[in-house]
Amino acid sequence: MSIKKSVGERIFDFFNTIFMIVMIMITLYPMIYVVFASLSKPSLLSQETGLLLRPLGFSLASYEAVFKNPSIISGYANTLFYTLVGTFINLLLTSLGAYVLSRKNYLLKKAFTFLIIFTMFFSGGLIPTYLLVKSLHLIDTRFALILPQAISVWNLIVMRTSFSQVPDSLEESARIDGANDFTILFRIVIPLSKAVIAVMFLFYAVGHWNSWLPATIYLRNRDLYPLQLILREILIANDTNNMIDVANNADREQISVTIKYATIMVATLPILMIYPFIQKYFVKGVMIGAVKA
Amino acid sequence: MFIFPLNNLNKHIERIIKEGGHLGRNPASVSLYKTKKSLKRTVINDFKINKYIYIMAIPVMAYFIIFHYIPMYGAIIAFKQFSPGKGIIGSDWVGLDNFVKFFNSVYFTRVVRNTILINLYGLIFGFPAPIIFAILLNEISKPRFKKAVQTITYMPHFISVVVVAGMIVSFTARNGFIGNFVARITGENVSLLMKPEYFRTIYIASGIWQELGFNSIIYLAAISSIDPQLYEAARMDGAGRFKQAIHITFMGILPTVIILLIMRIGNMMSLGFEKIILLYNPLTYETADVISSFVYRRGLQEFDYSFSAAVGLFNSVINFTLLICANLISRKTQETSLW
Amino acid sequence: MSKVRLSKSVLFLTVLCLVLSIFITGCSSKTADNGQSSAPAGSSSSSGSNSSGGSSSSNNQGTVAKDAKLTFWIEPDTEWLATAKTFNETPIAAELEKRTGVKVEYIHPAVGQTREQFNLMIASNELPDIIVYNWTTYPGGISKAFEDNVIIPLNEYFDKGMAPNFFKVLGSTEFEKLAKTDDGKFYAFTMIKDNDPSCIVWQGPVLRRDWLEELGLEVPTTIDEWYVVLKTIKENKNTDATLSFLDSQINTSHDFVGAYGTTRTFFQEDGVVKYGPLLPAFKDFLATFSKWYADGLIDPDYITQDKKTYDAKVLSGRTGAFLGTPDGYVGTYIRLAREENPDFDLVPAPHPTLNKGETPKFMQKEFNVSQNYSAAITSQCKQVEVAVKWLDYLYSDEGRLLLNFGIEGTSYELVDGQPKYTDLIKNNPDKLTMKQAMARYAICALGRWPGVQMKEPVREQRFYPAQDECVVVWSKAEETRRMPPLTLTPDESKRYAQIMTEIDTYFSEMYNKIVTGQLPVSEYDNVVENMKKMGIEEAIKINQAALDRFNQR
Repeated sequence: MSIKKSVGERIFDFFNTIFMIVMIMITLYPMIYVVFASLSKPSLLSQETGLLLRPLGFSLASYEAVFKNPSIISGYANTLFYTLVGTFINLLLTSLGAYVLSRKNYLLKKAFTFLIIFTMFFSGGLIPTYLLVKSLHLIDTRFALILPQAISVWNLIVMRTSFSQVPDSLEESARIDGANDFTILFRIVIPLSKAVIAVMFLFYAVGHWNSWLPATIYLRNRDLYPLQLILREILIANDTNNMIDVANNADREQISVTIKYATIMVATLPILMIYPFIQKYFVKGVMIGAVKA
Repeated sequence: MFIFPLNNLNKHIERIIKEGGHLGRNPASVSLYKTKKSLKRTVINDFKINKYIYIMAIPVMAYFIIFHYIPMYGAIIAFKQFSPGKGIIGSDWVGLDNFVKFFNSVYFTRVVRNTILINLYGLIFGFPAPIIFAILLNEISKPRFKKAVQTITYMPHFISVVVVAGMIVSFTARNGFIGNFVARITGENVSLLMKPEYFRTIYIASGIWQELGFNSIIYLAAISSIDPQLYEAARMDGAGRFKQAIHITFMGILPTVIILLIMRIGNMMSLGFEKIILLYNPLTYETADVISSFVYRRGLQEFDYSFSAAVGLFNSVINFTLLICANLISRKTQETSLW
Repeated sequence: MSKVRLSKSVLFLTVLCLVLSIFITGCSSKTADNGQSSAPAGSSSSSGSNSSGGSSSSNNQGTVAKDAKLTFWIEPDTEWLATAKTFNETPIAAELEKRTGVKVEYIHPAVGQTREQFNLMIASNELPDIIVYNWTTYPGGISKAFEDNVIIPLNEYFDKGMAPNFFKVLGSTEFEKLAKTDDGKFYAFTMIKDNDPSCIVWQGPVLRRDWLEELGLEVPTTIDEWYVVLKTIKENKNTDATLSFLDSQINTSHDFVGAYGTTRTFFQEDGVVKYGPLLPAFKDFLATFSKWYADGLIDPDYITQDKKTYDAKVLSGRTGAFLGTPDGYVGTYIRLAREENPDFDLVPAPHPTLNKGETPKFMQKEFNVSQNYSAAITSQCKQVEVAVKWLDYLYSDEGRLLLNFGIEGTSYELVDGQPKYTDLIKNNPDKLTMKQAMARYAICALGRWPGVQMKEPVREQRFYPAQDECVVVWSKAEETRRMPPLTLTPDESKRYAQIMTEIDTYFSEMYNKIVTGQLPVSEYDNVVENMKKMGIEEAIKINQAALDRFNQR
């Protein structure tokens, strides 16, 4: 149905498009910089401080060096595991929690809500949590990176907000048909909340993909290290700013700068590919059919 | 689904229920309203009726109790002088000593002020930005272009803070393109990170640039759940696109916006040190030195778990208080709140 | 709704496949040795029963024990991480095991997380047999580590003569004190560097030799000469960052300020502790340095730049003089720059003085008994004698040779009775850098392991004459003023940390404001007053007490 656009609207559309193009340019450029830098010759790149418009002298040496690192491949495999298994558990538990918190009129509702939100602010800290994980015999296992962070309260709250806006009418009619809460959750609420679940999937997956700190706490075996930790080791290996012992470390030989950029590309490219897949859940009107039903 | 307009539908239905109408009854509400015999009876009833809710709650609450509440005794580390060899239980009590040390510091006021100001400006400029961006993006008509913009603008989120800081240092240097640009305007060519008055702007602007795309995702998801018929209806009533954007799109995502705003206010005292450390220097301490960077430097002198725990606890208490206030205000004025 | 079920089962299958694939890759992921040595990987089950492994059988240290096992915690090094997942996988570890008969399991924290994981390890009370750490950073000091029953004092074992090699090496330094606490307890086998400048002299001023020659300039030695040289370079070479350095460098450097007889931090003169910035001469230094800045001789970006920008300035000719180290700076810059500009050359300058012919009062020299990489034996070690003897082996002549040069025939050869690296190290066929190859065979040569760092391998890493000149030139200074590493009592260190965090913050702000011209030099008198109000004199007293205790060890 085509409606004629007013002049004002057309001007707006024009500027809006320009604006979006500018946004693309300023957000795409850094990635392009990283790509170019990773393909440059170290001696040339070291002299250059400005914007890069092309790789400076073409060289694949940095990628060679990166893939030679014995831990990169295992890092990849590990991160894939953590991301997929972890996100699955995240979504499962968070959906259950969001559903529970979104229901009305049961006695322990306020208690649950308060208890959960309280943990966003107060925690025991690193050492007690470590000791707990140790007593559960999870240290140096893969699940140590999944279970202690199974639910993010922030995500839980957002999901709850979304779940509580599923019309009660649907729930009512389902109950009349004899449905219990499990059925309602899995057959009504979740299908109607595809958009928010897609977003939560993205948030959790990205969270797992980028995570490195829990691995340093709970893992000893390098075979279990996620990719980001390997990447971080390479990036900070020569960062003299943080070095406490300046004398011993001032003399460390610079790892080729190009290797740093190659490592970034290797670690980031896969996760960037996820977004297009979940975008289809953001298509307008996704819930309309359900209400009419 | 973050549908504000459908809430009206919801309320309509609720009214019908309460009048004992034809859409069925909510057994819990009926029995709770009508039968208020004894407390015990209510509890048993509640459990019978909401059995599945409680069953579902078990794994969730188990998670929180095991991984969050059991270790919570560790918070007492703030009141002790922690020594790793003695463990938390064995270390000596010092009461409020660590807090006093923090409050008495010459720089206490400065770092707290800087933390709050950076977060406040970040809130004022950084919170609306993704919302506006999402709404504008929604107005783009070509779906492929829209998808491309979405995918590309969320990329900077993935670049590590170390690399981003390196870029900022480069661009704001004397001969960097931002440094040059500013030099033309002000006539003074210096590295911008030397100027305390520019620090907040640089810090916040780079943060907005990095997180704009990623933060807008949730609003885009919310917008996608708005009933297109509402737009139709508005158009029939003669509303132009601008009015539609405000009254339909924005109002449609308002509950999400409010919840996220409340949670953001609950973070007013938290500011990570990594980016600050990478960008600040002694010349900009007066605006750039925040609580976390100060504690970090203290840790370089001598690493003191108790001190940083005490500072952390202080931050958390303030954050929590702010959250409660924000939630209260929201509950009174809007209908959305955390609890 | 069935879609949800379907996608969930798809998810399950994917997960299952992944889990399987991980186990498969996990088992085969022990990477094959990139090098030549056929040394068994760390998973070899034949434990210490090769007690006949004393290869150089003439040395009675060759065998330490049979069937013994030790656990050894040390921070990993990115150099050997490039080719091995744990130190167990390096050829040198295998050779050590062969020779001593002790099977050692090496455990490592993640890179950059040493301190955090150290604290976690102690707090959870699961201690390996040996921990390698900078024990002076233990919260509360080394004595506290004894008190908390984390490590054990080694005196009784030393008194029984179980560590003759360590003592021999230690005794040849005047710093036996550095391996003890204030009350005379030996706490660890410390890393010892050969008492030779190549190992311990580490930073100083460097200039572009090719430019000096071109402009007919001599290497400057006094402050006034520096001024002329810098000005000439700036005028002729159009440099906008003539003298450059990183903020982190200048903070630990004695250069330029040392000419005035003072420095930026604590130092001692005849056993009396002083805080450099309080001395009146410091103001004179500020006057000079701020003038240099105002005249555009000092890089205006020095306080904001990062290493990448700094490197670029040197390599692209925007900088003519800078502060550097022989390997990480001088060696690297020459190597990189000559790929594009073969005339590029660097020359070190002596530490500047006020008057010609004076000996600089400060040198950037470490103590050759290092505080890093000190191997202490924990209270949970069940085989202390084995541990002591094993650690002692690292200091024996044979052990030293092994850890600095590797395996004869593979990584080094004897040329005229002197060990020299083979091409496996110098021109590694798998394209490992020299440091990476050395990390596999000669970790002590890099100075990142307890034991002795010998001077020959250190020198061998230096290809350019400029690098060796650095060591010679920068050694010509007095070294009496440096502060030894002190141990403060827990109470002292609390006070000290609190005072110094504030004073350091204040001082660095004021110092930089004055140098960059935002505040006049006359303001410095106020700064001194304020520092006194903030408790600097108490800090001096604390250091003095600690120094006195140190001297009496």
